[in-house]
Amino acid sequence: MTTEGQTHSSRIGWLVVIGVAICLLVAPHVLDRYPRYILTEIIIWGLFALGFDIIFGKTGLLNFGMSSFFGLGAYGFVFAVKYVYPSVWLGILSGMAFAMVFSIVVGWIVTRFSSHYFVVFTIVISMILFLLAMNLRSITGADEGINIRLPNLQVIAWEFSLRSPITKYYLILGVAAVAFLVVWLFFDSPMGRAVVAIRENEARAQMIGYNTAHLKLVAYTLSGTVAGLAGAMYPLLNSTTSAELFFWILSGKAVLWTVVGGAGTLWGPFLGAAVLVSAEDALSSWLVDFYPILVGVLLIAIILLAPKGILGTLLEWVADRRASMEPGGKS
Amino acid sequence: MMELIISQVVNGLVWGLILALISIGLTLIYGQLEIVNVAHGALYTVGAVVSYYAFASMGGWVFSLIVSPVVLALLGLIIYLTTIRFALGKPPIVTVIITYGILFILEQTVFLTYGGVPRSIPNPIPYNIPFIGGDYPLYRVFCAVFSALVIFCLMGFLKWTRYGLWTRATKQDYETAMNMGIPVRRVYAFVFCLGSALAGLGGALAAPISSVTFTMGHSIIIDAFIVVIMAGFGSVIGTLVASLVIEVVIGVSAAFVNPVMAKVIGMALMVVVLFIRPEGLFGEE
Repeated sequence: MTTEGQTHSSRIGWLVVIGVAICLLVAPHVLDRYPRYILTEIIIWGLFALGFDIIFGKTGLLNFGMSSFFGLGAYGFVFAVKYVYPSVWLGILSGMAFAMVFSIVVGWIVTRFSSHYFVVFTIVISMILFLLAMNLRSITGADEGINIRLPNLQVIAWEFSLRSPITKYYLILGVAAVAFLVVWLFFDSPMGRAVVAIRENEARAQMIGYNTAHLKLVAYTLSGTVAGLAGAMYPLLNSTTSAELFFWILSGKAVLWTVVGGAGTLWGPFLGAAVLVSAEDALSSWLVDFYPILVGVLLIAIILLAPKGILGTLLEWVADRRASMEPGGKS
Repeated sequence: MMELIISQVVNGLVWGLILALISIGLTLIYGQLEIVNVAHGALYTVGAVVSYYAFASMGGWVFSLIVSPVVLALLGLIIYLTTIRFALGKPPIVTVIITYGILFILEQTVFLTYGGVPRSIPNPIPYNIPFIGGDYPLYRVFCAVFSALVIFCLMGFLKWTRYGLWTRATKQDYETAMNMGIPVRRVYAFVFCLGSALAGLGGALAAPISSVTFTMGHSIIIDAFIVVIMAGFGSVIGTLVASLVIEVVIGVSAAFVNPVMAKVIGMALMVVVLFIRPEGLFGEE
């Protein structure tokens, strides 16, 4: 691959990024109320799926219990805002802290297990949390949940009312962008690269001298914290939270969005969430009945035929084309 | 109090045997094909629904006990031929995602055809037998005895028949088995059908005790996974022991705390066991 080709492709990459960023910034003013709400939701779901991509796509561990983090993030936000101090920032930090502490404790246990035990273990732990949340009605409100009144958003000296959906949109977009950047930088760092080495070949990573158990725990915690942050955005958007956020269907959705979008790409989860959430929304009522069946077929087809997902397959195709156009490359 | 505990222990044993039936199907599929079958709970649901229809149309309850496993074995064959066979040898992550897709398809199909309303099958053996602290339903005793019988037949089958021998040989060393002329692919298909049939039979047995709904597989699959990883993936006898232990513990706890907390205690037990022995009670690794 020539350096010229590389700069060319990265230039296209940057153009796409800037284009998407401009669209996202303009969107709330162009879109109607309902599509704007869906778009805000997609950003939250994409961020949640990004959390899953960190542990699955980058580290190679299938965590089937992502809903725990999302639920904890949501409840962390609600508890802090309702009982401690009415501040959005405190709520967000609290949501992240809930998910982070939980992921450190659980991660310390589960990262000891090999892959199939890991999968089942994460399912079971998330089930425990769901059952507890449904059972402790006095604390969590069970399936009725807890409603909150959102405080005003304070940014240094300015104060914004969160009654405006556009303000909410920009807040959520901003938080998601910062989180994405942090994750991106992490995987660009030596430690992030070492985490990817676990996925590629764990035994070899160990031989080179990496403490893989430690690295897995770091990845698990980062994944949980990002998913928790997404969870904290949920009551911010909907002013409510309920124990159903802990249900395993939500974990499955994170798997679905990430696999369809492109695991290990970090952008893929957002793409997958955007495609599938809007598809689910756009389908006619007749098709809604068949939607889960379509989802099942789609999952099987993608994992067998295009395991890299939409974005991964696209990137591979671009790389192939460039290689074939180069003199001396495969024709 | 003592009477309550004893009856809870008996209940635990009954459920433990039914659960063992289902979990052994799960563990056989894992031990043989290395496939973590997330859709196993949905197969159990389909088994219960089939027995409901068999009961409603033919009226025969014994008939439904035969139809369910047969239909489920056929369904298992279809699933194996269309998807599972392409997942063989893939990393566990891929197998989980594929069977997760199957779960979606099966469950929604049940929802669209059978509907979302829970229905129940009348108790086929409406007699009680005298028991400490009151009467005990005879049907549950039948379930326990029948499940135990099936499990012992299964173990005998794996030990003494030619197909059982093939199954064990394939599990031990796939390549040597193939070189010795064992039709390995056919063994795989057979084991997947057998596992599905066991899930279906479990569903048919449980249907008159709990009501039949399209989500009934959710809680059973969690229990089955707890049992299977507590026992160590692939161990049949370990799965039997673990399901009896888990269900008795859950049953006895339910005498003191509410049922949900009892379930949490069962799960916590698994966490503790795995923490001490990460490969499971009977697992070898």
